[in-house]
Amino acid sequence: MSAALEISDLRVVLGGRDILRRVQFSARPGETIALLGGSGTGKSVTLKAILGLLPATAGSVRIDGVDVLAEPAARASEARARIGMLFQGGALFDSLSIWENIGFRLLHAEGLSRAESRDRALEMLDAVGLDRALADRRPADLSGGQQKRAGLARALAAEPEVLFFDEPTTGLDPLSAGRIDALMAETVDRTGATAVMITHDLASVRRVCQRVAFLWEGEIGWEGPVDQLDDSGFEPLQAFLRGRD
Amino acid sequence: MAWITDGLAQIGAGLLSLLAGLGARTLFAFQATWRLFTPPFYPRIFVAQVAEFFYFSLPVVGLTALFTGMVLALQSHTGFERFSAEDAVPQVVALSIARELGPVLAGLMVSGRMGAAMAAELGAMRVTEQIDALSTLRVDPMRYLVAPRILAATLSLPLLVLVADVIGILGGYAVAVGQLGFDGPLFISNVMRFLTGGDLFSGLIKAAVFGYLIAVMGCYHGFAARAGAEGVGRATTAAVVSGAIAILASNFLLTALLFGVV
Repeated sequence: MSAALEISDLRVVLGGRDILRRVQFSARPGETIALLGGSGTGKSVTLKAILGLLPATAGSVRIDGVDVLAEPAARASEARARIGMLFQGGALFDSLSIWENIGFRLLHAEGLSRAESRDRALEMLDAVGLDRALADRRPADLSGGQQKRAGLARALAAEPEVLFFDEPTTGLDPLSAGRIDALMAETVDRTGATAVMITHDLASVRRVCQRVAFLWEGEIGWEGPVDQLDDSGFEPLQAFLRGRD
Repeated sequence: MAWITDGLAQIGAGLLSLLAGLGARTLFAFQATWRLFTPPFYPRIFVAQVAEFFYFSLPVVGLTALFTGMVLALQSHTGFERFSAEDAVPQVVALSIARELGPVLAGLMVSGRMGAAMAAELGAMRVTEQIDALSTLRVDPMRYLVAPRILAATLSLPLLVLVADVIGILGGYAVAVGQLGFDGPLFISNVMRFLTGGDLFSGLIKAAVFGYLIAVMGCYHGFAARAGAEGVGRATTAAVVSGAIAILASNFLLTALLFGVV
């Protein structure tokens, strides 16, 4: 099972300022699209608006055809439940063990028992290549890379059809970043999920993504396949890739 | 003339900001309170919060009550001896502790201890996106984080105040008997004779309201925290200040209502 994602004319105003003016992109099942852009261009805001964590002023967000901005709250919530998110810092709950983090949704929202949630969490630890011995540890006991893996396990535990990765490799050494990239690519291949990745890590984009959407001044300034990234002809994107104006 | 209009504009802006802040806190309180009565509930979180509340607050509240009772006995004795009314010390200690000082001082101490802790914990969760993560995992953060804290504080503070009342009166007893030469059994019998169930009950009602306000302020400021560690620090300070003001203001209204002054 997988769901297509279509964003049209998404507008978000925060504190009286247009953060997103007319964002438009789409992703097909089994595809990973990178949302690129400089700091403060609204990449995280885009994901949060799709998830309903920030209010969208206008536009549409369709998850498998269901416009979550137009539908009643209950239906929108059902559609959004098909999304799993890996947060930038992992966002693991400090006060819970690793398995409780991973099984959180199963335990509290899907009605599974503690034993069933733990079993599923252990399976997810295997899936992301973490030792089962870490299950009863706290997030603070894990390294940055392990926390990202645990965060990914939590995002995948309820078998989402759409995956969001927010800066998945930020703060990791190249080896750990490569492992996370491989894990994300393998996960999308295996599950057929639709994925959106926010990152500044161009090597990661080239390893994981098939397409790129570049955010510029509140809109998608350029969109195309990864292999055309260097020949986009869109100067702000070229400057972003060069790392200078 | 410009300075007059500028001044008025600033006063107006300040007033609007004050009302907006009050409105935001009230709305937050309504949203959280509604979730106290509608499922799903999180009893494990509630129990953990009650345990934390007692574990961290009991020592500080107990010490506050003890010294308050002791000082109250000394001060009331010093005052009453000017017109030969020293015998009223037990009654004054008991009434003051049960009606006012027990709930208010416990409330202020708990606001500093637990209100700050709630704001810091939830603020840290906010800035590390843990609260957003809850939403993406289909769990309502208000229901999971705020409602159990509010319920725990509302139910726990009256029990803490009951303990504080006993400790405070014992503090007064210790000073009265040990230092001021009161007869111990007479002190106790005077306390029992003058202290009514209504006196205790009014203090417990106040404590429940104070507990509710402390949790609402702590959770509100934690949820509103922004901008990293500095934002969490600001949220913590704001929670303590707001909690203290809410306690003192509501104490006036509750006293007027409970004792029929208005």
